[in-house]
Amino acid sequence: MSFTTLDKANYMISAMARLLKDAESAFMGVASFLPFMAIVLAKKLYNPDLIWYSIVGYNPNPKHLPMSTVHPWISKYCDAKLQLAELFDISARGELDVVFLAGAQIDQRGYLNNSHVYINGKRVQFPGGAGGALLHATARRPIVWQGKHDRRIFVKEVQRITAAGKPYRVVSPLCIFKFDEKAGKLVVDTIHPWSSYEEIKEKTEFDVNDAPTTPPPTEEEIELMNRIDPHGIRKIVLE
Amino acid sequence: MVVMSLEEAAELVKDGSLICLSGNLLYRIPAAFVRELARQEKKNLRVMKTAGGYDVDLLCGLGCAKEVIAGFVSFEAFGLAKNFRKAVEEGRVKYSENTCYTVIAALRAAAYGIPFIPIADISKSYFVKERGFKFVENPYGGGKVLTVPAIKPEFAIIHVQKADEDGNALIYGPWFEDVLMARAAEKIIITTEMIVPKEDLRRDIDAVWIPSYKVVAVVEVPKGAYPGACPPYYDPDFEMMEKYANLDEEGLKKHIWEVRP
Repeated sequence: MSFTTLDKANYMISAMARLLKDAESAFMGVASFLPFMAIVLAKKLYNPDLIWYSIVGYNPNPKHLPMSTVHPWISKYCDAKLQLAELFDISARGELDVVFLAGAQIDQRGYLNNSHVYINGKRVQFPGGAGGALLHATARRPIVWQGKHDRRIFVKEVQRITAAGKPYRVVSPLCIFKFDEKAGKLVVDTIHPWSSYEEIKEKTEFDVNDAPTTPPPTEEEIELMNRIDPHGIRKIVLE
Repeated sequence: MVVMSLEEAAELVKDGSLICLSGNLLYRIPAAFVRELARQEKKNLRVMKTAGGYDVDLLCGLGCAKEVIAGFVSFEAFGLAKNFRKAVEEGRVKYSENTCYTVIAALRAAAYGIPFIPIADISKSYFVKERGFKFVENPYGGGKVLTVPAIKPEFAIIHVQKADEDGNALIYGPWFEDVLMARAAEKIIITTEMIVPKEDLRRDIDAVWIPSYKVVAVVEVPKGAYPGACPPYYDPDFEMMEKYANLDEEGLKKHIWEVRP
């Protein structure tokens, strides 16, 4: 069986949406197409009471995926005003359940580097971690996601710690990691059907284990994803 | 009355100034003002913002900025902010990296008129040491608490939907850090989609959160956030952003004269 880029994005979104089934609240930052869709899916299919804190307001009700996940029109469909600074306060007070965070580098402790790396002595600059440093440290269940999976991204130890915290899950295009409390590091929880233990081992700098296959998205989930994002913008993340 | 032209307002900002820019990514950014700063070839600006994009990138790409104090600089779906990135990699611009929360904390301390402010413990993040954020003993007990020093911008440069001729200003939609930076800064420059009579602004009083007392310039600039958005009047110009994201320095120089104001 072969999987298109869109299929792979759908698997990742579906997995993230299911992680929100019992969540109390969720926040996603900028440039977050997959979390955006996962939250919409979770609210529609599994958890209508899920509280969505967004950058532009409290509990948005978007009808489709915008090109910018902080697009102005989202603020028109919110239940209440919520300024960005207050969202950080919510997390600092320990009131934020799930936060979606991306990492340019992710290490086996679950720490993220979105700052910069040095390759052969030359600095390569990333955008910065946005709100990640605070949110990773203070949200109850950080979910880390990344659209690519290779040895430069999934490293033993990040070169710079932009954000430190304990991820609840890490969703990659090859697999899903969870945090093993006893070992104090990430372990593979499920492997996507187009990948394998061998591939993940080859493309991850830290030690990995074999694991069961990630369950597929349901018809209902796929139909909803296609409705929210008919043009397949969500593919960009994996390209 | 402090109404003036874009050129006159930009002349108030001297080389080396610390400026804080309104909006977030592509949303209500003072884009026209930033282009005018670049046309006037400002140098050594220190630029502060939680999450920058076009505005910060342009000032870095054209050699106007020497320091960026921010938590994030990028173009979201349009990729990385190339000019910012290159300037930092080549050492022409110092990226004083923060997390958005500590930029806000620094502005809050300035706004509250206090020298520093305690924050949640994020001390594992590398930039905490690089920025020199220090722990102090909680005088009320309970151990140590991390702190962030105040940063007081010389100018808050804020693009809004409506203002009166004194600079009382209204924001529709999310404020981001704009109301806070208006409190924190020494002086405020307002660029506005339209200057309206006081009685019109009063009808919308619930949205008027920037009082005029520190406003030193009001400039009427329709489409002043372009290619960013200024809701409810216009959306971001995604086509222009895509074009912009691929401009080199020569292209940037043309861009600031071609896109007027």
